[in-house]
Amino acid sequence: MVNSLLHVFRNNAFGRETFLQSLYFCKKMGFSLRVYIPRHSKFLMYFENEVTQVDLDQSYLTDPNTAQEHVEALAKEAGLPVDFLIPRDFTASTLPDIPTTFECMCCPRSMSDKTSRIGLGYVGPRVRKIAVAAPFPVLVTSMCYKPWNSIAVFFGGSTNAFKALSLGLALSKRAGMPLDLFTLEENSVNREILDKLIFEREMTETVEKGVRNWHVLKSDKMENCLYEVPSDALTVLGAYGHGVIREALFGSNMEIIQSQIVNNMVIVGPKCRVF
Amino acid sequence: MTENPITGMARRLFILRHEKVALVIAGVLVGCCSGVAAALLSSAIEHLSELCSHAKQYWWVFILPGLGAALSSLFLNKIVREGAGHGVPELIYSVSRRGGLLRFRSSFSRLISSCLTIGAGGSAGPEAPVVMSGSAIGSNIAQKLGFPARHRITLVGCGAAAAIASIFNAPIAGIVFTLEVVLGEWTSINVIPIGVAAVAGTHVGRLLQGNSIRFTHAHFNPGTWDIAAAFGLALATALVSVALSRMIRHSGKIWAKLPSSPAGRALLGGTCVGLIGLGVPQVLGEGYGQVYSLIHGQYSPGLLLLCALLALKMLATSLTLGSGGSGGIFAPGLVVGSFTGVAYFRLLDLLFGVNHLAPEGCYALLGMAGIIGGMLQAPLTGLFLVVDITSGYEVILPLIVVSLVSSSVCRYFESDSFYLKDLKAAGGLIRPGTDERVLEDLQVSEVLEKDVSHLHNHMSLADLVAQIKTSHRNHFPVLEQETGNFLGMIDLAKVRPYLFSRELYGAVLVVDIMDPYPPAVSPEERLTDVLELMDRIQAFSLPVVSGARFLGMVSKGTLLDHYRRELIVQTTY
Amino acid sequence: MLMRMNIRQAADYLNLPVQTLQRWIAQGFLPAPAGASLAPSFEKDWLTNWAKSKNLSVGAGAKESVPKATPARSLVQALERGGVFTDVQGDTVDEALAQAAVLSPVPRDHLTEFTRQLLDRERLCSTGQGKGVAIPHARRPIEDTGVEASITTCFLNTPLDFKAIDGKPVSTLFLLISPSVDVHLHLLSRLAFCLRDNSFVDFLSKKPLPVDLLAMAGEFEAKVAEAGL
Repeated sequence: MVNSLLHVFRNNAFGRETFLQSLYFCKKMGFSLRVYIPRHSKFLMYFENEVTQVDLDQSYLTDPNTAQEHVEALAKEAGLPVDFLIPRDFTASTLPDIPTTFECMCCPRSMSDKTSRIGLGYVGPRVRKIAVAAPFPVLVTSMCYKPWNSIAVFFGGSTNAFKALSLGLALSKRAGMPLDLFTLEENSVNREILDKLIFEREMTETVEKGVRNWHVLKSDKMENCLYEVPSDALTVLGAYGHGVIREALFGSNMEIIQSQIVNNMVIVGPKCRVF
Repeated sequence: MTENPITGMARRLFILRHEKVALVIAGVLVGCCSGVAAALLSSAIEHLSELCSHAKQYWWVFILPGLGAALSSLFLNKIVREGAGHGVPELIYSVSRRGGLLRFRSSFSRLISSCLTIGAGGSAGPEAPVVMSGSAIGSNIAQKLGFPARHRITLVGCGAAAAIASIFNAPIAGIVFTLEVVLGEWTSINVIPIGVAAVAGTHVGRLLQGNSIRFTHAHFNPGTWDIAAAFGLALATALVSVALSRMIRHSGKIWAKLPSSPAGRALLGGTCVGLIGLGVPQVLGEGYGQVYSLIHGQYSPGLLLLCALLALKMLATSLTLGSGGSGGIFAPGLVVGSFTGVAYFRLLDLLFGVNHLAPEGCYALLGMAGIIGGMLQAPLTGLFLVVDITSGYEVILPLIVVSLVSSSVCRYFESDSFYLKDLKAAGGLIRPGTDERVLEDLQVSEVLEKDVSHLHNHMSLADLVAQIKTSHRNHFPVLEQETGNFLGMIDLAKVRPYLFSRELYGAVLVVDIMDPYPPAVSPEERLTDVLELMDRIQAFSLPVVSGARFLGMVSKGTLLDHYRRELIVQTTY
Repeated sequence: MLMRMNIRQAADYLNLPVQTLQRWIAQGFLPAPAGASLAPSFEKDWLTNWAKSKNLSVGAGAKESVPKATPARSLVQALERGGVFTDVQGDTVDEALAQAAVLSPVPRDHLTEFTRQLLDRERLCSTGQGKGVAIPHARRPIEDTGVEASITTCFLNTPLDFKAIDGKPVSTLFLLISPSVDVHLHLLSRLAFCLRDNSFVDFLSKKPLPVDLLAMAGEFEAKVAEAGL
């Protein structure tokens, strides 16, 4: 099956950086690219048990005609074919439905806010909702185009962390890039326990083969050890940390990570089906 | 771990083992919430219009409906960012295409906006917004409790039924409206929760607002002549409902052309209504006062004035709704219906004298049923609504005649009802139990046949012949060897003549004889479209191509297999 | 012991795509027992009952049982089973065929019926292949007798006129018995492949010993395998 990535194009300089990121991802991972150029200020995504409305910032709607030219030019430069998504179904006349049958979706940190509001530590509520509800992982991009050469997976042993691990392994295999594992040592999390969990899932061999380094970070605070994460790594993380379940937050460790590092992140939500 | 504990418990305890019980309990919950929403809207509109009535003595009173509509449009577009429209088509779309998924914001947005529009004097009804809110409440409760799509739709229906039941104090009308208009299906599974929800909604409404039949009236005793006259009235109501539907739709199109913001349009439209209201205050608001006096035969104006009022009410309604005010067509429909009924009666009186007929109030009832039945093309809804809100069981015979005839005559002019016309044109309406329903659920990827042997562009005819020997298929995709991109198809039926000329075996490459632009489908295509394409080009199987990748084949045979299985699974309980 | 299946196994068990099952769960047509919707697991018995109530076929591997590997598909084995006979008597075609039938491994109680079928087939259209060879066979494969495929080779005493295409009198009969149509076609095609080669025909005309014939057929069969037929 061909995997595809959905990109909602924002027609400004910031949007170009985001789009370059999508292009890089598709090129490295062999995904095909679907681009939606918005013609309405909002769209709906129907997931299995939820519906999410995304209200786009006005900058998404500036001049759709040049937007198409921009996309085509950038894709041509990258040597990728681009397939434009034209919504077929409308819930109301100004409210298109965007299908959810993709294997990945690229979002900037926020889609509903002005670009000036976007910064570290802030992920917009809609992007969060998509990440939590979607059957696909969400690629949250850095501020500017930042190619990566390795993959870093944050792994704490939870169900979602395992999904992130499998996804990381799959991505590293596809792109031929090395994979590093990062684990923060806590009371209930250490190398032995995790090894046991991996063994229970019959993944020992794959992990041994696929992982270059396993960094076990020993520190009281997550913040202090994120320096270890390579600057040119694509980080993969599960949307829930160990323990606390809160709909609005990704889990405490994940919140710290996303507020500290500028790398591109692939967020694996609880409903995500790893391809 | 990832699942909410409450959700998980609900799933385990009820939804799986006792899904019917769980549905009924959830139905009661939805019914109560929806009933409260309806009662809230009702009283909010009452208070707001009372507030506005204080402004009557001022000259600027005509601007009030405009202000209300503009505010409601601003609220919808800027604050809650809802899509346009009064909601019922959106609801039906969600039920038929999206498994009843509705946004949480829909559960309150239209309550507030319609309250602003109607309270300020716009000519529209509060019922459609309440239906939308009730359904959204039902949908969100179902989402939180983790009900699967099939039951979620039932709970959406529960919300709609309870909303109508509560706002009209009419449980049967709520049930019938839901089954006939919203769900389009009457099964043993969905009728019980919906009935229970209607009871809960009605009772909550009564507790909050008192148990009063909306339009009580004196006894009518319609006789043979009334039944005969009902046929004529049915024709009249049918024509009026077609006219009203078209007026609203055209007015919407005309307003959309106006170069202005939605709020500006609404302001202008509302102000026009206000201006009409200056001369004829009867057209403002939901207009139930008019209906009351018409039923009681206390309406003094003569025939011509009645007709003028009828036309103005229709104009005001289409202005309000077309320009972007928020509200439904139930209440205006009832008002227009009662005007039509009484006007018809007076016309009969003028022509033949009316010694043998029931009083004119009776005709107001009949007219209401005719308009609702005609505009919604839902005869039972019109019928039971009028029976419920007037407790007018004694006029049931002419009522049946009017609503049935009216809706069938309407169907003659308008292929689909007011709610469904645009929806159907956009392909958003799929009723349960239809061919489309089954095909809609199946995806191309589910019926994909992947066991297809493929050829490379360097292969010769001899390789093709060798492939044919081992394959059981008649179609061979040709892929580019280096990239795996799809180049074209070879259909055995078309290359058969060359297969037996051995001298060509080495000389002809498969790329020479393939069809480089074969008809193909993408994996996202709807199966209805795929089948339509197959019929048009008389193909039994088609390649599925995504971008430049060949994924497999779809064939009619496999499709039929899956279709039948799907039908069995969906229709056996 | 209860057998539990995950969704992938369940899909295989029901011969359905995984997506279909996932969709049925989301729509509520397949009640997913205990646990989150993400990783449902099914009891085998329960799933079987459910599938029965919905008229779905169950059981993995139903598809695999179709192509049975029959040892009799090899030409050499069939020749071996049928036997090679020289100096077969018969002055007419009918007599020769009847004699060949007697020599073939057809069960005795089917012999009369089989001979009649052979003659019927011969009357319908000559089985003479030309180059002095005929491949007589019955029109309907004898399925219910449980015989395995065989080819009985008969070198006739007196060459007979089988009304073959090239008009040559026939001196070699390959009596072909097969349990099914595809085995029949398979053996016939291999035999025809051998006969296309003139060296094989010349070799036949020398009325070789059974051992030599089998060896020769073996060589040709290897060639066929190379050609990928």
